Amino acid sequence: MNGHDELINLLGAYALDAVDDDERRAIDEHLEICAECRAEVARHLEVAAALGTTTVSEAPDDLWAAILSHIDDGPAEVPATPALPGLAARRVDPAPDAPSGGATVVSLADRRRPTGWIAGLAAAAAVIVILAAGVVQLSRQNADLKDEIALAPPAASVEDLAASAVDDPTNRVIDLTSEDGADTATAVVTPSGQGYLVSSTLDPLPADQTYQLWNINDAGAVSLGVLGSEPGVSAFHVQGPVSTLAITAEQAGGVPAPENIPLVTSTA
Amino acid sequence: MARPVIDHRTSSDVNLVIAVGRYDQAALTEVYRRHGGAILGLALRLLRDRSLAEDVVQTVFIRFWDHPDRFDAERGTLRSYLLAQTHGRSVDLIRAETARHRREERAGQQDRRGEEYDLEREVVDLTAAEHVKEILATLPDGEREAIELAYFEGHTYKEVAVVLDQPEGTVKSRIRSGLRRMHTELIKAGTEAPS
Repeated sequence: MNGHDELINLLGAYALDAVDDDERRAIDEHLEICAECRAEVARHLEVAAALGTTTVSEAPDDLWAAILSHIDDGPAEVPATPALPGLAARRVDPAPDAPSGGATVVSLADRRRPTGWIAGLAAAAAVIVILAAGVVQLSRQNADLKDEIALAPPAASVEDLAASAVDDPTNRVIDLTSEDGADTATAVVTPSGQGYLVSSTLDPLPADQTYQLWNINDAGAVSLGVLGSEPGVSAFHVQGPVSTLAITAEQAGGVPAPENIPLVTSTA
Repeated sequence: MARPVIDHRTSSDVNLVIAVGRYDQAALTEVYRRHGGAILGLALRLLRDRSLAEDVVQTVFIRFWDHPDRFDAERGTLRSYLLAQTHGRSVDLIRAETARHRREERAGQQDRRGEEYDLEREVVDLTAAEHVKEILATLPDGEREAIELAYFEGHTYKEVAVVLDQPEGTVKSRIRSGLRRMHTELIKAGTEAPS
């Protein structure tokens, strides 16, 4: 049982954990290569999540304390003896006891996973973290392991980088407009795919919504970033050619595929 | 030297995942604040045993802490991912004999005592939850029963086929068509799983 046609009828049951182990393995393998089925499973999982929230309990503080006690010594796969010099002392400053409030920025050198996944996640969801207080940029994930950068100021603000990108004639400046022309936005993309949303006239959204930027091509819409409810200058990255850029308003946190009509789009 | 402070309450879920990738406990705290209640509620619904349910919640969060890279934003929201993990782990327990026994014993106690845990702890988002329940109720009986038995009782579609005395192919088709129908209705109602 490996073919698309054989497996597609099982996708609903798969999303509800209602298949046996052999079927699950076959579907897992198929999902690695089939975007259509991945999209369908994502939709089923959203329905399952909706079903799962029909009964919500209060998340108790003592349960959180129990979880925290298990993770306090770090993840299991972190070796007791660091594989590389200078990677000891990996724990973050203690989090606030209550499940809310501020957090501490952590040196990326202190907090590395054996990854590329963060960059992938960032590209998929198009998130570039710009911290108001500070400091950490996702690009630093690729920085030298020995750096201690938590407090080092960025070389340039995202606003400066965006302004420089606009001034560079080798980059592509893209204007987005609404159907009635009332709203506009401007983005700039470098030949390497680094992009910046430079400006927009979009009104602020309620807190439970966010603007989301998309690159729309023949294969569908690829998220370039969650822009927040009140978008300012933001960085994003485009993999492959830029076709049509669009901004939609979506539920907070973003969505894997656009669920609403674009508010502004670029012209060809 | 003091480090700058991030307020994760305004972070998107994806940014929280990235922060967890840097072992930022405060980001995990915020994930728990946003989604812990839904996760515990689902585990309680499935397992009907608070101790087992809390074990599942712990497992889900510890696994997420250890492997945030397993979350794929292209496959859905963080909440749907965590709920799927919760459902999978709960179903594993349901299908284990010892847990099945405890669950049935607990269910019997509940029959006698009413839904005690619900009254103790539940904080239900009535609007959204009722919407979902209403949409589920509008499905054709065969689709609704198949989905309920699979999702809330932890049965495989083959077990559902036996329970409903229907062919397996019919049951898996009904689960799929029912979920597709619900997705359409949830989109219309703007009540997809809150993130």
